[in-house]
Amino acid sequence: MIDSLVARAQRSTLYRSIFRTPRDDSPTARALTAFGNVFLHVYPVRVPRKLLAVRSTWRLGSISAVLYAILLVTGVYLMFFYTPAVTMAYGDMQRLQTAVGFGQLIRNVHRWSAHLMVLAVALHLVRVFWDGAYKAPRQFNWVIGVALFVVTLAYSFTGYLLPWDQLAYWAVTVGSDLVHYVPVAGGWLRNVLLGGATIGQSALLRFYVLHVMVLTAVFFLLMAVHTWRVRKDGLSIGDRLVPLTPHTLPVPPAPNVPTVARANSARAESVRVRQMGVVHAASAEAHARLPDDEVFTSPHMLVRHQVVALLTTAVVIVMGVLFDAPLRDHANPNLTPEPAKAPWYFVGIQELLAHFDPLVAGVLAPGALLFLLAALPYVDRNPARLPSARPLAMSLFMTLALVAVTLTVIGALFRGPGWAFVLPWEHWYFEP
Amino acid sequence: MTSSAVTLGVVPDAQWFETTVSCTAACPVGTDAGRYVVAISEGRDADAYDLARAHNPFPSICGRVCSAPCERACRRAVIDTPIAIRALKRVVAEQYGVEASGQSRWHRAHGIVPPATLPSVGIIGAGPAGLAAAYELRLAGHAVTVYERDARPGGMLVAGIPAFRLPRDVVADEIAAIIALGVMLELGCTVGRDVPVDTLWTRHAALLVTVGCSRGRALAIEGAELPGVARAVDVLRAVNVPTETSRAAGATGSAVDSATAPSGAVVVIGGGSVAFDAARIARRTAGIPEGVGSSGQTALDAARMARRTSTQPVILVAPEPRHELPVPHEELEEAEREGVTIRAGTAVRRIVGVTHVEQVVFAPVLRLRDADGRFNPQVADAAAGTDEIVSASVVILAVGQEADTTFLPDVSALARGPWGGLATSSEGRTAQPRLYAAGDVASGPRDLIDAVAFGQRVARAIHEDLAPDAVAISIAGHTAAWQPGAPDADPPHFVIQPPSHRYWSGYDRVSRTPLPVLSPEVRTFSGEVEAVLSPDDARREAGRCLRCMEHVLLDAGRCITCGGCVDVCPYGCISLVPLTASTGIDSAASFVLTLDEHSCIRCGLCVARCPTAALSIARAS
Repeated sequence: MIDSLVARAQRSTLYRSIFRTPRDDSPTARALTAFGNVFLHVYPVRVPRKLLAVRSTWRLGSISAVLYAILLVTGVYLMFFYTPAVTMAYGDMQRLQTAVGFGQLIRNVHRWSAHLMVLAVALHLVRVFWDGAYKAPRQFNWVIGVALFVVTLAYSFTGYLLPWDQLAYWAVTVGSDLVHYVPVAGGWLRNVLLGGATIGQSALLRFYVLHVMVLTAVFFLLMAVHTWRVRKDGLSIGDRLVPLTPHTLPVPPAPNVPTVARANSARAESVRVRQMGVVHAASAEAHARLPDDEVFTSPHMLVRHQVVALLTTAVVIVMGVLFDAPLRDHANPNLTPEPAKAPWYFVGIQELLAHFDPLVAGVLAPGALLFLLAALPYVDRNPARLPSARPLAMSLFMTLALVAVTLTVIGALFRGPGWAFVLPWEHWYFEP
Repeated sequence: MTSSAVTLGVVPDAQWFETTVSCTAACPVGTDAGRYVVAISEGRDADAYDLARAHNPFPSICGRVCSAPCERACRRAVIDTPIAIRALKRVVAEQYGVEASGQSRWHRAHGIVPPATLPSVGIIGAGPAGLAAAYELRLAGHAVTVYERDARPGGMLVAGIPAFRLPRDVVADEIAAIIALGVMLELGCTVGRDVPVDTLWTRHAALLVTVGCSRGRALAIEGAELPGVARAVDVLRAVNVPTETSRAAGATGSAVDSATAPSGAVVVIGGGSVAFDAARIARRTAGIPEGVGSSGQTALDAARMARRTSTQPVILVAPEPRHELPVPHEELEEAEREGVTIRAGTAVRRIVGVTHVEQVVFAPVLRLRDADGRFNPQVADAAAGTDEIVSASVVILAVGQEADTTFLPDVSALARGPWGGLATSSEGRTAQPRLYAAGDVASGPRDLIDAVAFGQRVARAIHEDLAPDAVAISIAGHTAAWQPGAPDADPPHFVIQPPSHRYWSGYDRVSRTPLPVLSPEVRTFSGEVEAVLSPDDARREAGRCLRCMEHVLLDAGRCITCGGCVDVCPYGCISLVPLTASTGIDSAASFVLTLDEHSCIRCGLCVARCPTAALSIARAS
């Protein structure tokens, strides 16, 4: 009954004017699902079979994208109830949590999604490094990816200030103080960022505009290029499917062989594969495509991405239900909390500041790291992809990653008032 | 995992492209089946008829009873089931063939008939092979006389194939069209009895033997000589050629008695078209026809209709598994609808009876072919206890046929095939100069369309031998008649539709149209069981064609190796295979774009995707 109604609706002029492709299941319809749909055409029609395995990518890029979508939706909801003014922001936050329907939950989900996105993007970056997927021809997309990582951090950092509580105020104070150490232009830079020497109304408004508008525009632009390059450069996992056996051109049939015999020999090759022609790669991105190793995006990849989206959404909702985002006292420039910690992803730098000159720890070290990260595909010329075949790159990268994680853990969990060493099970000084 | 599956494919030449058109390659006479199917799908039925007619003087007959090797080869089976090519041929034959007397375009195919100035040829046997040869020879300018022992020409077309599959007026009309070209036909003339072979040699410069295989083969099993056992060809002949019944009955001995024999199943042994025809005849007569005598077909029908209420079962026993039975599946389905029980994968161990057939012992076939792939059924051991005993009153043997060439005086000097016929070259030349043979007598029992093809080949050989200086026969449709000139005589033209319109129609999802048939309750001897497809059904069915004759072609210079075509192809038949430096072609930046012709459905998505218009769909040349 329902089936017949659906079938009837699908035959209607209205339906067929909206949906370009037939809905039934056939290879052509599967191809057209991806090829003929504006939303799905970011996908290739077919993907390498190996991509179906979770371990191929751990779905970290997809998870990041899903988290970003959640952040957009929840962020719009929060904007309805928030005024970026120092006199109103904190009160809006309180009202949001107490008087707005689902306000607390939406805020929680937004907060946890933001943290998870920083984590997911970072892990995505590590995964891509691990698989050597940044190597030719994907060098530039790695650079775009690093830029997206920076934008993600900026998103999180600008968003951190908006609640205008003590946590926000002092975390951003610590973070923006680092800008001050930039040689020559440090003071000017901080002025531009904060709209003054200290964090006040100008800083709040600028962070707000950056957070909801400027970074969003930049992020969309970079994501478009990132996704497009994934398609155009080819999936790195596809590279590994290229047969290692060298292929040689078959000799064209000798002209004096009787045509009938030629036809018979052609038929004997039970697979009637014909050469359409020898083509020359027009760009460095050209890569082999062997459909035997591929499956249709629709439904195989679509289903997996839907599962990823559902699971990710479920996780952040559960987190939002279980844990409330912190909201401390109203921001008070005259009362410095002890300790005043940067957001967790910058707390490693804060830890470094305790050991080195601020110029080194706060500017040169992170700057050099970021530069090295972006330049990695151009510095690392080893074409090998397997981790075991590139010990130098692996050990350097993993050492740096380990140092960063260690500094972050120490800074976040083992530091108390006066940046003194504290065991986290004795006193917990970390707030996300 | 992949490297073994990756191939660079063949470098095609024009001949190779021809072999990928499976239907045409499979047709013994080389009919452009795909092209007439495409023409029907485009509403150009007259062009379609011209194409079907071009290679074959019997399109109306073939539209009904051809074994359709084209359908067996049809690549549509990659998706679902083959195109109903034979039924489509009938659709256009009904409109423009000999059936449509006023509209017939039959004569368009052959052009002007030259006067009979070249040496005379005598043809013994007016079956499909003989008539096809007569047609070609007459058009080449030879005087031709066909000698036929029966009162009607057609050979197995009238003596073997039942009228409910092939109406006699269609056969008569199509043969009459050939006779009208100036072919002499002597009916009721048995060579060797009514006219000695020596006399023929005085009349003709060459003799062509096309007497077919008219004798049923025996089966070397116990009880095969019992009364009640008959040969299928004799049964069919008795039904189809009433005036000849006495001789047929004489040949089968006691067959006529069987109608009065005790009830029990009619068991037909064999899995070919003859076996199916005999089984379906048996369902209509509830046994073997008795005393058909002088009563005409109409009276016979009435009598048989009355008897069809009989519940006497008809069982067809064949060693092949069901899907390997060498008949088009329509024949199989219709036989079953008429109540024939098909026991595929079964052999008959022996026939039991004292004075008459009483029982038949079935044994399962374990293996059809031996290790070398030859047909050699292995029957289960009797001790295995898998045998089955069926009560039977009649057994009809359809296990092959033999030729009768004893009318030739010096036949012993000629090499003979295992079927008792004449050994010939593939062109039909025998060891004796000026003596030719074609059709079943030279090839062993084959299909109608094989006989036609053989007739065409032998005609070419005879023409070559008798008139070496004349223009050779071109079977490809005598298309001289279509040379430009008269506006009415344009050659069929083929418009390639923009592929972007093609995949809208969902042609790859339309399933095969079931052929319209008479309900089993009202089937008679002569009423045609299968009806013609409606015009709408025909266009829809023809629209399913995957158009093997059009190929996806690449302008390599425009290709930017984006891989979009590989990506979008629904059947994964395009590959971009990297070349290595070992080829001598510019380094690793070169690829070969390959296409699996076997899987390509010409959906045109690759062409639609190609950003540089490097790909196109066109007729390869």
